[in-house]
Amino acid sequence: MDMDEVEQLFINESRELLEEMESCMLEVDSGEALMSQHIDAIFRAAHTIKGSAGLFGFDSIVAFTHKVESVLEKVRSNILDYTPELSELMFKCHSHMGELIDELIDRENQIDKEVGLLLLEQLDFYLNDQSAEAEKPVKKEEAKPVIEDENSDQYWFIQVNYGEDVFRDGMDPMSHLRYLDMIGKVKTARLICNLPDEGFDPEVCYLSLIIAFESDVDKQKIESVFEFIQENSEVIINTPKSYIDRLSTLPSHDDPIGQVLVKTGIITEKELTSALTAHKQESDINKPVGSVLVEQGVVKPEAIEAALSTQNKQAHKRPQELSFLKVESRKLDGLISLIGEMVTSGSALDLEIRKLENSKLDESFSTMLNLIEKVRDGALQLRMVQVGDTFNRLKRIVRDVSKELGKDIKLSISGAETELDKTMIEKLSDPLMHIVRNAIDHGIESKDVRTYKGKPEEGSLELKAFHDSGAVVIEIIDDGAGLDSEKILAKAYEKGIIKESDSLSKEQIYKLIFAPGFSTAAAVTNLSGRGVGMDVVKRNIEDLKGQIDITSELGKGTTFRIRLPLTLAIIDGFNVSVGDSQLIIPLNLIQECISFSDEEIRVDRNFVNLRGDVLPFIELSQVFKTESSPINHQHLVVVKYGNRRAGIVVDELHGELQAVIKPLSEIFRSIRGIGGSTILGTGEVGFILDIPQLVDMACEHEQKGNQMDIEKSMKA
Amino acid sequence: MAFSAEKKADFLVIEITEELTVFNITECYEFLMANIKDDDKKVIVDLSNVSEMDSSGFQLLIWLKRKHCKGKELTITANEDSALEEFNQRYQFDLNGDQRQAAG
Amino acid sequence: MSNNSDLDLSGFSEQNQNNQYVTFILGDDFYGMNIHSVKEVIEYGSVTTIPLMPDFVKGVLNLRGEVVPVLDLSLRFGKDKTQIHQRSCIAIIEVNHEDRVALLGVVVDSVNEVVEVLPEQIENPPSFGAQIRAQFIVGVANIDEHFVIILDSEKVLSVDEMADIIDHAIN
Repeated sequence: MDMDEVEQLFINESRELLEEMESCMLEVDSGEALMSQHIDAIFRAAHTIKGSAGLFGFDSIVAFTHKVESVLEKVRSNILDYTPELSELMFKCHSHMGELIDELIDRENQIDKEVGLLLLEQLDFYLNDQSAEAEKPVKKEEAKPVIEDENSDQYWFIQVNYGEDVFRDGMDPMSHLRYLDMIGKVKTARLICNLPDEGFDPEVCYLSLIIAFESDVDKQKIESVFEFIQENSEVIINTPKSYIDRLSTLPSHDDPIGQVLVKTGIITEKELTSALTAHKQESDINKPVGSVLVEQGVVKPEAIEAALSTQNKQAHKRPQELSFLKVESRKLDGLISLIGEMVTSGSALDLEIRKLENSKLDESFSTMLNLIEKVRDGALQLRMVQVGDTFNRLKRIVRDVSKELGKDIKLSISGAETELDKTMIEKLSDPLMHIVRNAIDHGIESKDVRTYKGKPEEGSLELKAFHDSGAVVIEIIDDGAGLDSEKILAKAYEKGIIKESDSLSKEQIYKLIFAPGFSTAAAVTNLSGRGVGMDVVKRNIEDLKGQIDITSELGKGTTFRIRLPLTLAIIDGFNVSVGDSQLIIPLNLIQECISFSDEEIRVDRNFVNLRGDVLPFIELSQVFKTESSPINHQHLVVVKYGNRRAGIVVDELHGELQAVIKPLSEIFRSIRGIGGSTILGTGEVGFILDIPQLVDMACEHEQKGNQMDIEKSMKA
Repeated sequence: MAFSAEKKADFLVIEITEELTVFNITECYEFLMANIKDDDKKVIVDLSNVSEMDSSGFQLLIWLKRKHCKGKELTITANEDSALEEFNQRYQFDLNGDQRQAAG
Repeated sequence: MSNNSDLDLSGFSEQNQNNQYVTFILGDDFYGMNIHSVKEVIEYGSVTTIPLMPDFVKGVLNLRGEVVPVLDLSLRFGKDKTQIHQRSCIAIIEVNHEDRVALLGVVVDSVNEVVEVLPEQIENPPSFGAQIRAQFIVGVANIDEHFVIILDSEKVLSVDEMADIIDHAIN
């Protein structure tokens, strides 16, 4: 491994760490998680980056990250509160660390050192500001009860703030210690006595106790020790870490988290009940019971995490942590292209073997073909990554952009675990970012306007990903102003994109915003003015063999819907032919194939009656202007994508095949209806049909036809 | 008499006997308030003969040490088998020890 | 090496290549192309036509798993369509496009030989008479009593220009 490679490793690792750090910070920022849950991860990220940077002598990174780490350390040890201001600063620092690392790649690209210096100054403020410590309300003496001990993992930590009337009620803290010693061993006890300067009353109890206790009883038992004083006193019991380990031995189950914690003796029924009551009163119903428990101080975040991990996987909000193996993507691509070759030569061999009519050979070869298919699927799976990371990056954009514009936006994400080919995800990030920016900038109205319109002040932006008939669909939904079709029409006309005479459907009008040279923003803000238009968004999506659609309702919001194929490498296809052309229809789009008599075509109409439903059809020989074989029996392949259904009329059906997608040469970039090519078992080249484009083409074709008809009739 | 105060040389020696519990704590408190004067610089509290004690008693001793006898030389004595001993042990609190620990 | 390659050009050493030209016949004319840009020459065969394409696009070809477009140069030059016959060949040409090398096949009537043409042998193209756009031509050389038109492959087979022509033809 040469130095460059090692350096690259550092860069990759740091970027990953920064990503993790960011997503943790965002969760804290949005209130999804508590700082105490994530501080360790955030701190570790900064710490590791500093450490590795040190190995390489990237001094500027070390110097900067060191300060960041120090501040985080203070947060971690509860010396500093993680205030919104500090959170803001940390986001800035995070961005700066990213820039410092980017600088390593492109050394020409000098970053603004002033920014770094300014941030360092602000960090210093937090580091030196002793007043921050002093100001922190020191609630009595007991504020931070935790006694650090090497072996603290096995100890219960019990803190009792005795109520005033304990002595008068005939209770004695000493008796608690005595009793604890009967059911376990009190390792340390610390007596805290908050005596008043004036007005000491000897009958009033001013005592608190902090106890480290070793015992394997459950929490319920310990709580019962303090049963009689609970009304007027405060009892906090922290379960030992070793109890959390018990969780890992539990079998998978569907029990609610609260029950799990009670079962293992980490919390008591009573604590659970009170947490559940508090949970019901929470305005944010999405807040997990776990975080309420943490907030109430009855349980540590680690315990919640451990308990969650025992719950069944479907119940998981976050994907479980897995162990990963890093592989250079070049190696993976190499493997996949080899498997592509194998698939192709497999089908060539298949043809030859069939000619031999040897059943044993047939049988063993079909087993092999089966295996090849599995290997193919496995290899393609290696390149699949979850869209979650891309969505997380959008979280930051939403946060920054909405702050800048002074809009409150609630971002909800679903389907983060949906998988897509890595190369596609990379190319998807820019278009998504652009759509999201646009939605916040132009879609969602300002607070005043929203209030005036009777909408909630907080705008909503939804990111959804899901599978739909072999494609991945990503939706970006806002509840903003919606698209004004009249305005768009006027603008498109003004810009010469359309002629006045064009009659367009709503959907077609919306699509005009993708036309080059169209820009909706009357006032171009510095956010959207990045020089990328919606036309680029559309082109990027089409490069990925995807489609983008818009639905919108004026005043209510807009939805951008992106449909993408699962992969760009190999697909399962169905081989058909029209004239001499061998064509492949993606198998997952095909609903059925039916025979189609010639008479039905002769009738001058473009739809058939399919079991009572009207099914429009496309004659490929017409669209492609090829000569159809002079046979009077044809086939109708019924395809469906999204909510559209259409029939494709072809001459012959040849059966299923695995098509290794070979992109067509750049010179064919304007070709429509054909998404790529593949090499058939015979060595011939087949073309993979892009069904959505084909349907669009047919629609346009028809519209032109209609217009000509209208013109004809007008002339007559 | 459960409480007594006696001047011995420089020292004011206070002896508490029988019990030091919530039942006589106010009585004891008033006794201490009355008998420890500003000019008593060295005070010895002898608990050797206290057979019954509770946490309110222990709290009173802390008060004595931290508040009422602040600036004085206060020594609290007892036998090893006296009631006080258990409190010293279990509370891991040294009444005669340094203020830092007592202050928490 | 491939078995359907008629002309294996890999044996030529680097330093000689600058002056090496592949000559071929197309219609009535002799043409030459620098050996740098000619990857190989194969027999004409199994070209799959692509729907809706203008005539100068003959189709695509499976070149050991690569799908390579095949073009009719004669039509590109505005001359008559190349007739396919027994000796027809396809020259696989490498052109640069956006940091990558694109492969394109051109149909030729026959491939003659690889000849050495020194720079001083190449004369400026005649201002008229060649019937080919001047920018396609590097120059003309007289080799064995024949006028050989030396082509600039990057210009003749410019990916962007051909993509535009196709765009106009089909939309």
